[in-house]
Amino acid sequence: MKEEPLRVVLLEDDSDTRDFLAACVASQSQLRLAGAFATLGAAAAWLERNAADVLLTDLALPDGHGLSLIRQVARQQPDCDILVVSVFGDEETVLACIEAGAVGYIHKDSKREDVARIIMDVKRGASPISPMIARKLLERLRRQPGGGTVPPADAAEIPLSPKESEILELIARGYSYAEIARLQGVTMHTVQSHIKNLYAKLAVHSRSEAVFEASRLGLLSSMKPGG
Amino acid sequence: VRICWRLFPLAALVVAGICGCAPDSTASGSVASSGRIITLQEADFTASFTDGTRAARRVSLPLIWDSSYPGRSGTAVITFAFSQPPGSGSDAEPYMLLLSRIGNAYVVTLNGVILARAGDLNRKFSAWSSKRPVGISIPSKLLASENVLSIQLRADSRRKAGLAPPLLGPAGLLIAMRDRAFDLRVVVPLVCSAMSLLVAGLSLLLWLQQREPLFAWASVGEAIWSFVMFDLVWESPPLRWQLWYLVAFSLRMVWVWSLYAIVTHVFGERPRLERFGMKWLVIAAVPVLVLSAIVHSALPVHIWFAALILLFVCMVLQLLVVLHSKRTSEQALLILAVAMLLATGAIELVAGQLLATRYDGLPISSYSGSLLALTILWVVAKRYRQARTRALLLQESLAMRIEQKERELRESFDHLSVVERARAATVERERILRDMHDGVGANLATAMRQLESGSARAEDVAATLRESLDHLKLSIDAMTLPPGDVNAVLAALRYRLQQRMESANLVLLWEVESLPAWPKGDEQATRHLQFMLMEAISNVLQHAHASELRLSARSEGGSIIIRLQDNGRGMSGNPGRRLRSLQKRAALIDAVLDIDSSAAGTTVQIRLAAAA
Repeated sequence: MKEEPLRVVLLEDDSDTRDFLAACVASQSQLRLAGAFATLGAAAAWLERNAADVLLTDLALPDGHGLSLIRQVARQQPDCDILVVSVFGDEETVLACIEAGAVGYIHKDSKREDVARIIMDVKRGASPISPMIARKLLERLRRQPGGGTVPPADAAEIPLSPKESEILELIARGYSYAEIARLQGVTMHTVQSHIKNLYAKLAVHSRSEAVFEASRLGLLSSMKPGG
Repeated sequence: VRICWRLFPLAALVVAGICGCAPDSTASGSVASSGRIITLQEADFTASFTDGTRAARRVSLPLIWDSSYPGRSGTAVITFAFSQPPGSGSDAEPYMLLLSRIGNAYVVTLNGVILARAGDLNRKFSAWSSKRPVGISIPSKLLASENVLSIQLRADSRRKAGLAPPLLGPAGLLIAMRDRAFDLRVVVPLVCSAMSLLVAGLSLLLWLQQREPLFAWASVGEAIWSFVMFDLVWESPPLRWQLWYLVAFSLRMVWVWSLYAIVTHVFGERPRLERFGMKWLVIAAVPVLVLSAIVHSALPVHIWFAALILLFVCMVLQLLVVLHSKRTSEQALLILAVAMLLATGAIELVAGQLLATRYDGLPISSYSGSLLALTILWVVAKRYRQARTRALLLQESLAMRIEQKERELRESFDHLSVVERARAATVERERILRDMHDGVGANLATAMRQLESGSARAEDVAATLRESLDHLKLSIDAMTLPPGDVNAVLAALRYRLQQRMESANLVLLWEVESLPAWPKGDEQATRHLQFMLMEAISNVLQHAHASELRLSARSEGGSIIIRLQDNGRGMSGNPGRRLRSLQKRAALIDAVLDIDSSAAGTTVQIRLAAAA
């Protein structure tokens, strides 16, 4: 039985890149371009009314920053996987996007077949994580009880299993998923699901942190414990 | 001004004293009667002097010893004879004898009965008893139809001995007169003394606070004046009379000088001649006094005193001229007080010393000296206020200047930080420019040449451009990588170059241990290391024709050893330029570079100093 193709939404203000990404989606029969937008407002309005399976979004947009859309979609459509389109994939930006709910990113200079493959991988449960991001996560973990030079407020709330932290350690050292699977004696799929878990924890952590922060500031007066 | 008004009753009292307390001037005949009060004016007088001579005569009071017998000391008996006053008798009201001034020592006898005595009649220059009025109660029964009042005196030369005409009358009437005389001769000087002491203390406190010479002079002058006023009523001073007189006189000279100093401070610098004259008159005072005692004549003292008065009069006249053009309240008051002092001094001199018509005249110059004390208080208060205002203004301007300096400091600090930021930006800009020149710029130039040559294959140009983009990404990584973390450098490098290696079908074998910190690894050094590694990998990709690249990194003997080993055909073509670039960068980061190339492949080893 033939599966429904995945609905892909594009948000990219540069028309060349948008066309390139549209072409990437078109090249893969399991993907269908549900919408392509150049402005944040248009994409946000469309996503309010329509469901999507994958969102590819740029960050620097003429009418705002892509992070707000990532938060909106992560909240409204938890099943939609969000990938950030980035030239550099620098760690600060990517980490912020992951905390907002993105699962990874696509380089603008990726090859056509790679873009489609990454989208499919993500839908299959993979989460591309760069060594830089892994190191950033480890940094936070190292500040956990006992290590604390910095208040462990954020780090202490990301509980990682020993396996997860081992995997993070190897990623941070530059090892590929396949090499890690071999070194750890597990399947690559296991490694990928670990990573996905980590992502989810990170996103949940950052969300709960935001909620905590909001209630502390009295922004969410209706959210009383047990209320 | 309010003080001046308060002073008025005092001044009125003094004036009243001068005019009213002069019974001797209104009397005539041996016994003058004013209502029921009898003034005993005429008397028999016998004197025996210390030189053995004697004198006997009929006198009309007042007796002023120093005028009648200048330079001589001795004892005297003054005898009055008078009939029983009308209305007096054994059952009548008590009577009183009022001696408004008597000196030096005395014994008063009525009809053979001693009524009062003070001092020792035989001891020359012993206790002084001519400073207070003496009121003696007389029992009515002592008064007979004819009475003899005998007053024995001890008179010391130049010690203001003498006798004012005695008054006899009902005690009820004379007590009031005695009280008034007591007020004027005792109470007023004591009040003045206390006031001057207060001004002196106040001035001293102000001087301690502000160190203004005017305050010091005011304090000294008023302290002395307080003493002078107290001495007016002090009948038994602690020193022998001559010595005491010398001390008191010397202090008065200091007071004169302090007054002059105050005038100088209030009016500004005085003419040199006046200053010279004043100085020498003050210095000469005591010698003149001594001289006067030696020659048994008051003439030197009188000349000296006249000179002093003259000098002060000249000064006052000159100051009045100055005052005419511009004046301040303190100047006007001061000149007024000094002029008054001079006037009263002159009156006193003429009435007491030269005309010798009064013996119980009041020391009015001393009183006006106390008016001067009040004036000085006014001057000091005003000066203090001015100084205080100046101090406040100074404080204010100081605060403003400090604020100004702070502002300037802040501005220069801001300027410095702007300069520092600009410098940091320049350094960063230079780094980025060099980076772009060596990395992206070089790649873009190569891509351009490839395109322009027309013979380059599209994938070659794409590869060059991709390398350029990789350089850019690595450059961005270098900005955020933690300093000294070689693991992170390697991992990021792999992450960035993975795609190109896969495209080139180059299998990467990754053997990277957990490495110690690299102390020299700042952003700049990290960038050099990235360049070296990228150069080596690019070399493998472009020239080595290798199928496998083994990248290992380990820590060994205090070093971090990074080794890239390919199975290609070794270095070919012209590797000189690339090698030089590698060597240069290695030198810049204190790395040891080893390159071993053969037909079996090339090994590039980079050794970095690890943290101890």
